[in-house]
Amino acid sequence: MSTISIRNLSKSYGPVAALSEFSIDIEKGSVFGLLGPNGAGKTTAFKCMLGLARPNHGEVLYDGAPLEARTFERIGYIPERSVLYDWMTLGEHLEMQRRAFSRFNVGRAKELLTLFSLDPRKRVRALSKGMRTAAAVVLAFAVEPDILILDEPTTGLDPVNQRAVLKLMIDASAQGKTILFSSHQIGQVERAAETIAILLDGKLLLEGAVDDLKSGWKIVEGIFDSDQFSIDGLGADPGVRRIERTGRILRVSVRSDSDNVANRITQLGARDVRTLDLNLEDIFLGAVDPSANLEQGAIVQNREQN
Amino acid sequence: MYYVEMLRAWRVMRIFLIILGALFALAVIGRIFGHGSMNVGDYTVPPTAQHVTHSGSADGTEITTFDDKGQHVVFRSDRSGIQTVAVTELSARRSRHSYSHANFGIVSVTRSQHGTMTTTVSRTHKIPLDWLFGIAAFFVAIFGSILGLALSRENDGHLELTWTKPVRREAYAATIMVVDTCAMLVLTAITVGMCVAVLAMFGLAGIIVADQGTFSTVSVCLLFMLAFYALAMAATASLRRAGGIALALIWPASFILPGLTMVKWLNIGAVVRVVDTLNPIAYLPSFGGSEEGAHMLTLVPLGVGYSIAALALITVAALLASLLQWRRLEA
Repeated sequence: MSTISIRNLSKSYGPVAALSEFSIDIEKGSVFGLLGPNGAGKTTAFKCMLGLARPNHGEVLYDGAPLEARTFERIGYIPERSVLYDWMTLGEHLEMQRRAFSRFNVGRAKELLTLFSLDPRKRVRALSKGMRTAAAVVLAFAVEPDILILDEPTTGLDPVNQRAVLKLMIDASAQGKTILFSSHQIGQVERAAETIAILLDGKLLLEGAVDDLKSGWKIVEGIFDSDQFSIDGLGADPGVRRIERTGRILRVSVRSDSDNVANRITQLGARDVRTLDLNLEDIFLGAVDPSANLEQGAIVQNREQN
Repeated sequence: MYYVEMLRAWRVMRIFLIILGALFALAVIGRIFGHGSMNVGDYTVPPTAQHVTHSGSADGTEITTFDDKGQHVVFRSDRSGIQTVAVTELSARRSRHSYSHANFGIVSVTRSQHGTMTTTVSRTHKIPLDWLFGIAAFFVAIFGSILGLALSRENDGHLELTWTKPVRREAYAATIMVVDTCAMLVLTAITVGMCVAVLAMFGLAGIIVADQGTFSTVSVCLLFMLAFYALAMAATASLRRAGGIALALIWPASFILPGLTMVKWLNIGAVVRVVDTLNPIAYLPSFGGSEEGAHMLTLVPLGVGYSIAALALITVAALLASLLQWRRLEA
């Protein structure tokens, strides 16, 4: 059974549909990455999951049961923006968590403070953006939760601390904790997440195990002698999902038969043709922005949605 | 879960206590430098007194005068038993006019151009304990209404932190209310205690009286304070930054409303009178002082029992309205 089941979650703010019929299942002990451009509905999804916003319809189940106050004993949450009290010290925030969560681990909190070089005597207003994010990470992880819901948990952090947060997530997953997180750092998602979902305009575009998504797709790259090359008929190939041309270089995202597409590009006059594995960034860009880097007249197809 | 509100309440209490401490320090300075070692309220003819005279006036008032340690003292006792003590002494400050006069109820101070200061104390005037609670409740209500912004403050960017704790929203809000109420009651007790201490410092502790009506009036005072807190909370629970502005408008409005009840033009007064029934200030006792004692007056001309019931109702209704808003909020 899934630790978290989200069923047909929809949320509108006035006429704007922030989330439409969003459904995913997150397995216990897995790391699930939620991707999407700004305004895609990721934060709305998190808020609806945690009861911070009321969905218009749909349900969220934690181990088969709806969210209750006591469920939060098992959840660590890092919001997208800092929600700490400016006038309180970091130590007072830790004390607040200690009093609220029965599983709060003081020793763990101290370790994490040391990891991020945070001074508990400092008031939050004196902390930089990155330090506030780090403080939120400390508060979320020190309650020893079974489920971590992390909305862009590395925002504002330097690369060293970003790596530290990523390691915390991976270690937590290894201990059987379930992690759902969002990030604009696709490289981080690729490193940490086993499963991803991509949201765009509140709709789920793509969902699956990262390895499966990557293995199903290839990039066929052709280099031509001049930038005046023809791509006639290439878009008609049912395996072609996306065509990008930049100067003398043609990149074609291909499902299924990449050899056939490679042959066709050779026939079009490419001097050099090679087939590459798709990375998560290609998958993400292909899903959310099919027109990215395309020159006028290029063909864009997104058969995955249809 | 009460921890944040405890810290927040302590911040407000600290400011209140600093102001209270400053006022107390002023009273101590006044006690030390204003009257030397004289104990005005318990003044009796000391053995070192000189030029002691006893006389009587046509209306039956008995007058005793004497000089002692540079002070000229006049005791007056009229036929109805009213006693006053007037102490004239040299003062460092002179009045710019022929004389200046300041009246503080049972104590009045008059300065002359010649550099003398006369302090007159009514020895038979009483201060009901209710007064002290009334004064304390009024000032605590000002600070209490700041505490009433608690839900608004939470709503201003902290709901993600507040609502992801293992506690129900209603329980969280109720805890805030309990903490704030305790803070206000503690501040009231400290303020009343300080008033008593100041009076005692001037030898006036004995003029504080309590009677059968004291409990009811004190209840009105405390409920006034809680009702104002609850109204502030209800008015601001769904607001974010605008909560402070709303609170800044509530106070002047609550003072203006009773005045508007007297406007006869277009029957405005009658309409405002209905609205004013929701105004805690309309129930706050004001005290008509007299030599015989004091009695309670309220703007709503009904009994104390009605005031208690009305204020309790306003408090409960406003707190429930706050809870309802709190439940409906979204982060």
